[in-house]
Amino acid sequence: MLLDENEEGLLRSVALQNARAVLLARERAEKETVEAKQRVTRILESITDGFYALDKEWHFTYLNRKGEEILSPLRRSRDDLMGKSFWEEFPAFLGTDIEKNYRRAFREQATVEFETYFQPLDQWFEFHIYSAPDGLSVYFRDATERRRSLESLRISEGRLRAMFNQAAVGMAIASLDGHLEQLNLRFSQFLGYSSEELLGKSFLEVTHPEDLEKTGEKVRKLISAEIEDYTLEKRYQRKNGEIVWGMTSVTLLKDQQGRPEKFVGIIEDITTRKHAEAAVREGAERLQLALSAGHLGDWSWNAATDLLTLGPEACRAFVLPKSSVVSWSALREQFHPDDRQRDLAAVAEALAKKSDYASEYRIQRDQSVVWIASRGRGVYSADGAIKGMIGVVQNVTGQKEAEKTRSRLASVVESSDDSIISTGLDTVIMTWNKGAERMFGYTAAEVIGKSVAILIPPDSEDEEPKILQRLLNGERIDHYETLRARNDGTLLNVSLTVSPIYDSANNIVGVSKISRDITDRKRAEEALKDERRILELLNDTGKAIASQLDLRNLVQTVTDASTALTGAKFGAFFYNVANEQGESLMLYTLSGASREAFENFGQPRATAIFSPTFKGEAPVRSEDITKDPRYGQTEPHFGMPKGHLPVKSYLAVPVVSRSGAVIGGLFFGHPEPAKFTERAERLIVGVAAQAAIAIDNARLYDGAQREIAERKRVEEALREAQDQLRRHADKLEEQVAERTARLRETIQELEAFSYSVSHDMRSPLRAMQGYSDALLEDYKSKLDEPGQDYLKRIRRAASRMDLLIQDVLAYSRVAKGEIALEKVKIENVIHDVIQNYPALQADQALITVHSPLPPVLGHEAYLTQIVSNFLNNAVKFVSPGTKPRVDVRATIQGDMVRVSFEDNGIGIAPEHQAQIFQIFGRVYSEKQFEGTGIGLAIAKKAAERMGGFVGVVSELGRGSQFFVLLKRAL
Amino acid sequence: MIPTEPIGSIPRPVELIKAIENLGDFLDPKLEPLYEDAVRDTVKRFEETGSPIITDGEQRKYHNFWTYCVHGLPNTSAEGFKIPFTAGHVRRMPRLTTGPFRYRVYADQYLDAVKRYTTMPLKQAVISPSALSLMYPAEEIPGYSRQEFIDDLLREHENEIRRCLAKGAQKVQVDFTEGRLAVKLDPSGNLLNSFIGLNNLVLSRFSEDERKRIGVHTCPGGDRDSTHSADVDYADLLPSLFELRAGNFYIALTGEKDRIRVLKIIREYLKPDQRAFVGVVSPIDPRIDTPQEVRDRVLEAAEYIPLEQLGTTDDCGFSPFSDDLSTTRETAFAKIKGRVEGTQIAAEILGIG
Repeated sequence: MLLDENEEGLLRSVALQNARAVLLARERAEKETVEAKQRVTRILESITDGFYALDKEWHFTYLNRKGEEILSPLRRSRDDLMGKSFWEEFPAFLGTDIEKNYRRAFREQATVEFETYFQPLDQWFEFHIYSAPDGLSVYFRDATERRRSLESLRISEGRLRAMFNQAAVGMAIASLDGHLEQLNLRFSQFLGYSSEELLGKSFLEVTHPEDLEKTGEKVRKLISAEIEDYTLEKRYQRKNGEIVWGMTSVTLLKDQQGRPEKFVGIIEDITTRKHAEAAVREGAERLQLALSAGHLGDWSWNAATDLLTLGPEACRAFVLPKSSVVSWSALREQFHPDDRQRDLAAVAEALAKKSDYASEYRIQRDQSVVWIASRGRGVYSADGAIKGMIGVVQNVTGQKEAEKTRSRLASVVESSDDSIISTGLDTVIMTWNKGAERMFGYTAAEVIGKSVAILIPPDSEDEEPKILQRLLNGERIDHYETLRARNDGTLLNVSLTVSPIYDSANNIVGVSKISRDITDRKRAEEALKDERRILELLNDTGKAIASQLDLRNLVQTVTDASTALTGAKFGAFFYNVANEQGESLMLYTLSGASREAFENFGQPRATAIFSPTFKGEAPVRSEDITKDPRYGQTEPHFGMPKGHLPVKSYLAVPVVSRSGAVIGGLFFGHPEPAKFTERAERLIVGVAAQAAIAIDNARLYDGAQREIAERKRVEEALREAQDQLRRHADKLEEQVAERTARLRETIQELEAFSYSVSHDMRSPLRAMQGYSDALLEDYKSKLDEPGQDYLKRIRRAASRMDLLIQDVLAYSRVAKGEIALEKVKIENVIHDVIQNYPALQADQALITVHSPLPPVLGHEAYLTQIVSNFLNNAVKFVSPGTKPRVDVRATIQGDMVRVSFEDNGIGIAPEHQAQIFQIFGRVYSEKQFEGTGIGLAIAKKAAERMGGFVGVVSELGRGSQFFVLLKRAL
Repeated sequence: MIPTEPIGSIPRPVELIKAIENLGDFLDPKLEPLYEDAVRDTVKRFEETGSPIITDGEQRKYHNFWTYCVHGLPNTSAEGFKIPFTAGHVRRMPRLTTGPFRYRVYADQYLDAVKRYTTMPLKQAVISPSALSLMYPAEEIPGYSRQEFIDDLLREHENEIRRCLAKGAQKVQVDFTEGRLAVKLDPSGNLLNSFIGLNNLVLSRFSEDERKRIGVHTCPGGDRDSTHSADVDYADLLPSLFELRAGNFYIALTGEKDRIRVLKIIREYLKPDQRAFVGVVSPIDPRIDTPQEVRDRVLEAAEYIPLEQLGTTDDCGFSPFSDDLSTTRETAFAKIKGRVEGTQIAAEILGIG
């Protein structure tokens, strides 16, 4: 289908217009191409390489200026060559590498670069051929110089390579990642690998692991240009595992831009030197070790510089820093001033005589002095000139001290009071100190060389072998107590300490014995034992005294203990019992002898010997009483009675109570003289004091016991009385109950009686009243005045009787009736009473109730009784012509209410105030004031029945205040 | 072996076409999953055909192989020139209304999409500048001369090719379907030469090696199983065609009445550094070509074209216009498979298999 004509025309128009634009664009492009070509041409003309282009027919299409210049020896210009065939113009190229490469480049459309020697020009040329489908572009340059340079370089390189390979030191070139690329024979041999084995290995692979880190650090710094090169002594591992040392110097090969390309290393085998250094070091260390073991410090002096180099021990000795170097004169400043000149002289003499130098000097260290011994030997040159000196120093302070100690020890041994001797294993005495001389009486000359057996008592002959055996068995023999004999035969108590003597091989070669005279100690021990015994006795005595309350046992204990304490043959306690003459002691307890031995002699009296004791004076102690001037002065015996146990040693101590009374005395005797010591006396005095206290306590205890017994007896009596009382009370209760029952019975009978009385008695009275009224009414005209008066009296009497009976009944009802208390408004009761009694009305009396009156707990009927009685009495008992006035008030008193009725009546004398509350307890007669005399008794009873009471406060002629006290109703 | 390559376009999935129609905006984000599915499926099917080099089937090219790069430009109108097809329909080109002229889309973005699904060698088709040159109206656009347009056009085209090469396209194919149309419009051949010149202005900017990866496709058009210039004699086209400075030429041949004659022309004018990919299957023929038929066509071509300069291809894309439903995807891939297999068989026969 065709386009619409118009459409087609437009399309064509557009296309053609576009074609013109395309053409213009192409022209412009071509122009640009031409310009580009021109630029290219300019470039090509300016380059230093020759350039020509050949079409695919091998015709020259272009040759630049430089190319023309290069080819000028061939007498070819550009113009000559344009459009000409390359091969025709240069037939010499045929068959050469040039032709081969040209054709290959074109054929393969590849870029080919090569160099070739062009013999006609005697020149090397370098060709770069770039092919295109339409031909070749060839860059070429004269490479002759470069070739020559290369050749020179090659020769140099060859020489270098030879040097490299034949060098006496290892050489290697490695890439920047450490892989070996080139190495020489020496390097291979150094490591024990073949070259092939090493190539490609990293130099780190053959580096000892312990040197990897430092190697890596150097490499890093080298690469980062921190250093230009480095030299390192490091270890390598040979193929066979052997470690070798190499002095490794490494630098970087850089390219023309200065960028690192390769590592170049030179490795010198220093293994032997290292071993030698190690050996020297080891030797030096051994020397130092030896010096250190012997505490010797080495030093060397350089005569030229006068400087001393001090080894470690020497530095330590002089308290200087390690490896100090000081001048001799400076070092001498540390010496004691007295030693400096001497040391200087010693050095000078040694140098002068070419002999050894020896000196000892002190150096001050803080508060102590250090001794230094110095030895040295001069070092001389071949011509005998002094070069210096080498030597050692040693801190000999210890040795000096040891010497001092040794001599001190020797002094100690010699000055010791103890015997310090030594024997061989054959018991032969080898050493004998002054102490031994003093102790045993032998001189050293007398005993050295003799057996130690001369000191051993005959009955202890086997002791020495036993001691020796124990020692040889490794036992310690310390403080072995035994007897030894002096030269005069006397025996000594000694304490032996026996120690082995060792030789340097630690073998026992002898025995050292230290003997201490313990004779005194033994005596002291005995005394101590004795003392202990006495203390125990005292303790027991004290306990016994403290624990005994039985008097007799107590005193016996005291007597026994104190007899034992004094060492008496016999002892006794006598009570101080004064007779009429006041001079008698009663034997109470005895120890060490029987009573029978003293019974026949009666009681001791207050003789001159005994009197002090009776009187509680000081103790009496005599070594021989028979020689005492006081002895034998009293009749009848004038001394001891015949048959009396013999007594020479005598001791008597009073026993005095706390109150000062002499209770008695302790007496002791012994047939031998001087048995009782002052100490024994003191002890017995103490015992006597304790005994006195104990006796007092025992007596008190006795008293207390008696008192307790008495109290028990009284308590028993009291209990008995209480029982009787209880029995009596029970009996009374029975009686009360019995009587109460009888009373209740009686009351019931009375109630019955009162009931019958009330009815039975009131009926006739009512009849009397009725008939009296009837007579007066019906027969008044027939009766005279007296007769009427008689009837009126009869009627009044009957009325009175009736009233009396009613009141009695009322009383009995109040007295016995069962009531229940309740809250009552008493104010209402009062108003009701007032309302019900005409005499209480306002025209008759002025009754004021002071409201409000609190409610009370009561019985309304009983309250009515009380109120009516009080009010009616108040209005009745007034003076004639006086209008009764009553004030009714109430006050609260705790939980009670006091209701008072105060009147203006005639009052009541005090002596009548009690009786008015009794039945028929009237004060005035009926003629004076009407009434039964029971009203207040009823009120009283009623109040009592309600838990309250009534009372009156009155004064004759001044009115009365009757009150009732009742429980308050809450 | 004898290289064999597709032209490029594969029918879009029906659901994609329908969705674009319904949404009315081919750039609607809702279409993205459909585009991705279409490309992924196309790649998978291409690989299943055994093709040594594949395309994305132009699944994302909208609206067609000609206007994809300018579709939707604000300085264009739809009132461009009409291209009538033998099927009776017309395709309109856009018209430039104002300058400057710039592509809206460069074809290398299609490579980005397809490379997500394959690592096989890829070919990318781009439109020729000569086709786009017809956008400039007959009358001068005020302020934007035709020359300026041409310069911009050339630069855009060069840029597109370079972008595709940079993205790793093994081949960039310039669709030069207007070549034959040019002869039809101007039998003198001047228009064709101008087209050739226009294209060469760009091709000259590429290196020899780059031009070996650049190809030119010519055919009488193919849309809805019809052409726009099948009546133009190849003899009027091919001699000038091979003046294009491209390394590869994709020449529809299957549909030619006298293939031998065309092959002879190709032989005469094909330059040594050029390869001719002859069409051995016809997309507008619904029949599936058997491998044997393809084989025979290859062997026939081999008699005239040196083996080192011979390749096979499809006569045209299977769906240059995105809305073309005349061929199914199944048919397209079946035909491609036939081409590949037939070419292989022929190569084996020729001893270069």
